[in-house]
Amino acid sequence: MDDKQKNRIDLWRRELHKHASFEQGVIVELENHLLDEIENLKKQGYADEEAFFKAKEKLGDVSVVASEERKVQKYGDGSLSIGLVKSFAKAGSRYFRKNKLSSAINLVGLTLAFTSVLFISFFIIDEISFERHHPEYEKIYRLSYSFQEEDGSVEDRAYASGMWSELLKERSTLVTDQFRFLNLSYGYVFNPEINRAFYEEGIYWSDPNFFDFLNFKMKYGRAEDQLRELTSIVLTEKTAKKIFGDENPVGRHLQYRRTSQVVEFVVTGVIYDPPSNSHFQPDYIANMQAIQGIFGEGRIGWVDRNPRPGYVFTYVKIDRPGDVPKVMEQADALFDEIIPDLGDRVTPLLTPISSIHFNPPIKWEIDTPINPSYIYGLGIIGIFILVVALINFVSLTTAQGSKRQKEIGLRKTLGGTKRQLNVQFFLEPFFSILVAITLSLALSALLTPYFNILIGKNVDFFELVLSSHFLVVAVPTFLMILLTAGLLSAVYFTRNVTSSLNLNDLLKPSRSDTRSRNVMVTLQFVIAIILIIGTITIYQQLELINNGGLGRNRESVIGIRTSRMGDATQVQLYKSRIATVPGVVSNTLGEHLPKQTGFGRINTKYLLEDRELYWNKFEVDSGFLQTYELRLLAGRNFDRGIQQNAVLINESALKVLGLTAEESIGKYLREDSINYVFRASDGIIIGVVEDFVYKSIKEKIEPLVIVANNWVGGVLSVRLGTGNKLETISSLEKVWHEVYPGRPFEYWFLDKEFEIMYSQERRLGRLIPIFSGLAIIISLLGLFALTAYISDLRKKEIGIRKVLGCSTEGILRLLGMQYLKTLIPAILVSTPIAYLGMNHWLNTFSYRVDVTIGIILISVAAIVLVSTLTISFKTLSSALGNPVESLKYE
Amino acid sequence: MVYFSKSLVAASSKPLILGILQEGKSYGYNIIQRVKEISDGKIEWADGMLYPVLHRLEKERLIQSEWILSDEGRHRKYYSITDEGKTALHQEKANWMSMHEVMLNLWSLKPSK
Repeated sequence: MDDKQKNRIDLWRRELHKHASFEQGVIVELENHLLDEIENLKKQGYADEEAFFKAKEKLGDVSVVASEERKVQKYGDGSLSIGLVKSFAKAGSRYFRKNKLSSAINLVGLTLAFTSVLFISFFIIDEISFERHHPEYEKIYRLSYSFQEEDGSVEDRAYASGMWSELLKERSTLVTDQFRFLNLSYGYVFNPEINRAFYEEGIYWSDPNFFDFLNFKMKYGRAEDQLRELTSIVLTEKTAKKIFGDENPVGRHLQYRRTSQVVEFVVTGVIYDPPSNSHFQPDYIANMQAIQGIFGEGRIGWVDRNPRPGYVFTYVKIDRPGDVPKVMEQADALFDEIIPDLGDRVTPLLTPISSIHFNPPIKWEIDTPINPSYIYGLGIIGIFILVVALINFVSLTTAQGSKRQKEIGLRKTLGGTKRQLNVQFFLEPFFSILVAITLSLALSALLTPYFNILIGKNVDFFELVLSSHFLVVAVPTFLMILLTAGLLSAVYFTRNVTSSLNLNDLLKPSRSDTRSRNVMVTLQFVIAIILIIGTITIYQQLELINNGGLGRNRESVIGIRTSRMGDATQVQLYKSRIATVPGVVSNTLGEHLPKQTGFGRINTKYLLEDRELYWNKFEVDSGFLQTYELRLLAGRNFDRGIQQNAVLINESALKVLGLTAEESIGKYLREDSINYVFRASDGIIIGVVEDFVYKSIKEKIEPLVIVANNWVGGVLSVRLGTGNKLETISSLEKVWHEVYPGRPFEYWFLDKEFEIMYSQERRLGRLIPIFSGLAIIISLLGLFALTAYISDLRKKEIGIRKVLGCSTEGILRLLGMQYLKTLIPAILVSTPIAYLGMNHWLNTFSYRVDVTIGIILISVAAIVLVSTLTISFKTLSSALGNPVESLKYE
Repeated sequence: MVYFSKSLVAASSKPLILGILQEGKSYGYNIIQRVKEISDGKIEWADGMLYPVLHRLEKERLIQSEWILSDEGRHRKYYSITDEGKTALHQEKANWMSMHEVMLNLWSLKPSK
């Protein structure tokens, strides 16, 4: 083929390229066709030029062909061939490699955010799904009562009489079933095979239909076979392991002992440990009637034949929720009939079991209810994390748009349609988010066991992720994120990048672009400042709660259980024996402290001169003040070892009396006891003790009367010295076995007890800082990447400014101004929000910290410092850089 | 002289191309030649218009394509019929045959009174 012919063909090909709808492949095909035809014509004797024109003519009008091609391209949705998607993937991964920093930050930020949100949702789902695993849970109500005190105050209680639910079921057609259990410890569990005792608080003495109501997964045995015999006992997996090791314990023998009485049990089943989202947390479940073995045959009437408010947890089944008020009326009428003297003061309470967890704690509650504000708080943090991560994502993705104008230009030149570009810039964020979701799912699957330890739950990752609760929320959320992030960047690209191929437009971010980016950065600062102020405040409040408790240096006080065994002389013997053990500072025999449900009497009626006072009473002995390191404000301590007609009162009691400490001393406080089971103990006020937290700090410190008795007591509290505590404890144990041969020595640290009491706060005290810390880190990551990008973009500008004589300070000021423009409004917006929000939350506590100016200043300073560091890392390098470096590439 | 209208040519392009590719894979120029051959030159296309038709058939997945290096050292795009294409061709055949029958009925039978 001669050159002339080649030229003709080249020119012809160039014509084809003018038509955007001709892809490279089509052009090759058409050219082949032309060449074939020319060859054919030449064989027929045509000359080169003639053959070319004839062949060209035969091909027809190329613009008509081109318009047909365009129709084909638009036809169907097939315009995205696999090849094109491959090319997108290639461009995407190439871009990722080229921009490792911002892409990695984007991916890490998203993954961290999704993982945090997953864990937050695990926590929330677990909290809000309490008791929902039981069949017909929505029909089960706990029947308890509220009690009106003589002074008119009303107190809700979790217990009931064992008779009420049975009578209701008998008489009312609306109550279709009932079950009851007692959770009282009378003695200890004994394994005769290995001759070992175990103390357990978690024994449920239950009606045999326990498993008909409640769904516990059986590890060994069948649910329907349990508790049918008096000797039947069911263990949890954990308890079974503790007592019998790893083998199947079904058929093995256990004893329940209390002084000389022994109840024989045979293990009939093992349940998996109860899920954390249940207020039923037994270690053992036994038949209620088996208590006869302790109290004697036919002598458990006080459990199920006593109409007066008792110590039984009772549950009833009501088929229609609309019937609940009717059942309340029936129960009220029942109380009037069977306890006429209390009928006016005892009102029934029916609580759906799924809402027990959210109600404020009531007296003798066995659940550890959560304050719903914690759930909202975590939810808000979760939403903040998502918002921050999405802002990062969108701002980084769009910020980088201009860097890709070459690729976009190339694609357009090669015939890429606008639609294809839209799809590309929708698919890219779509895939990064998909990758982040996958990574975070994998990460949370791996981290779930640690999360469980951290928050004291037993969440099953797969069960949760596949649960309808999770899917209903998660799938739409993820879809929404995918769509918003994808659409936002796609819309941005079509509007700003793909529609324009003017280089100047692309290099300089438009005004509206900068403004929307500034708004996003400001929003991130707002969130970060709110989170820092919130976290510090929450942390301080939780610390206040965690540390609020009886006396000083609690970590050195241990409790030893002495109740339920031996007599007064044995306890006194033990007390005197350990007084000489090295490392023991002092000891006091008294009630279980901190004051919890079911320990001792609360609200005793006292008379002082002509006044009636309903005060709490503490029974201790003379070592109390010393053991708990409590200070006397006035007066003196009890005399040692003598039965005395003397009492101490606390500061709050003094306030109620309206006297000075000195005036109160010497007044006679008389106990007006209506209940003869508990011995009246009154006497002269001999001293005033500083206020100390003896219940939960979540409750106000109430007036308290401390009386000294040499009673057999429940708990011996021992203050240990500074030496080796474990050594001291083992000496205490040695003496114990000499005084109480064959009885288990059970001890615990007092601060552990408080820990249990504040377990909810402790868990949240760990969770909230972690998650808000993550949110702050994610927003800083985004800020860093964005600054890096912006200073990159302004490299040329900075270079020119420097060449024209601008100083480094000037450059820094220039870059700093932009940052201040976002930070200052953020501070102005966020601080009042945080202040009001946190105050609102703190108002739910009787003891609370304050949101001080100090906290706000520290938070603002922290964010200023950290963000300045983040930003200056990049800006400094560009301000200090040699302008030649930044200009030479242009 | 037989003359096919534009729309008739367009309508027949699909069964024609599918039918030719049924014989084995082929490329654009060859297909055109074959059309001329079997129609005895009666069907005359603007050659370029073949390609959009091929591309549309490919998009409809009735045919598929591959690039093959020819002996002359040129990359040629070869088309072959897919299973879906075979089904479509079968259907086309049936349609054309029944159309043919309709016409026969109209013209070869005497009008009935």
